[in-house]
Amino acid sequence: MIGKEKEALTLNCRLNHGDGRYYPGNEIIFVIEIENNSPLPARNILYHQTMPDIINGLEENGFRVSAKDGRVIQQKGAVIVVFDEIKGNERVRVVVTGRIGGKR
Amino acid sequence: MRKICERTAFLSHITLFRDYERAGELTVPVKVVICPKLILTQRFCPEEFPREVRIILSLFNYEDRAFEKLCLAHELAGVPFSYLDVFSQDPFAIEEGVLNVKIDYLPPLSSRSVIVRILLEGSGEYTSKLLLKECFNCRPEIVNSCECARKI
Repeated sequence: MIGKEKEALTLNCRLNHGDGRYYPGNEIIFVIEIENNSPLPARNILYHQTMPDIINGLEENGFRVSAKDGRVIQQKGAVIVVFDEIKGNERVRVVVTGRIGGKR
Repeated sequence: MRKICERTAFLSHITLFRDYERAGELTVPVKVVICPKLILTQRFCPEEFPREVRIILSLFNYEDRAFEKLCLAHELAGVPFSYLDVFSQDPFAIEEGVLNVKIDYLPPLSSRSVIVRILLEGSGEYTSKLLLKECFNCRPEIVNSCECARKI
């Protein structure tokens, strides 16, 4: 676990390489969990992740993103996921996969 | 100066909005190990006799650091052949048709060449492969690592 926000909505992120160390060419997977700690549903949630230049998409369309019940929008160097609602005391998962490029 | 397999941290920023207001933030550091680069090239020069080929194998170090105890391997496949001559300032050995060249020290901004003369004993397409098998003091990234195909 890399970090945590002490709010009604909590963000956690894990990387596929436990030590967070990558070589050019490696696949990088961000597993992000958004938890709604409140019993009330959270509506109109927008997730925005910017990527440094060294992390590229896997495909022409960009990063491989999976997010159940979320609408994925890709921009250059950024991933956006929109959730209409996260139910109370529930969590959703966003998985973003990219590749480490060879240039700085 | 770039260090041996330098690690650089790159940051990915995550922001969460709820009803257009910021509801959470997270910065994820990604450590990327950037290895120094070595360039391998091969050049084919026809000799007087068509079945004789001179191959110039070169290793270029454009980095500002030295590499130690390197082992270059040259392999030829596809057509039976024999080595006529090998010119190298470094010690070399031919084992099971593979030429291994041991380079003890490759200074910064330098190059090394090995000239190989071979006699092709058949016809068809042959492939010449040049590899860096070992490097003692780091794991360099090989650029332009080449496998060249030619016809005789």
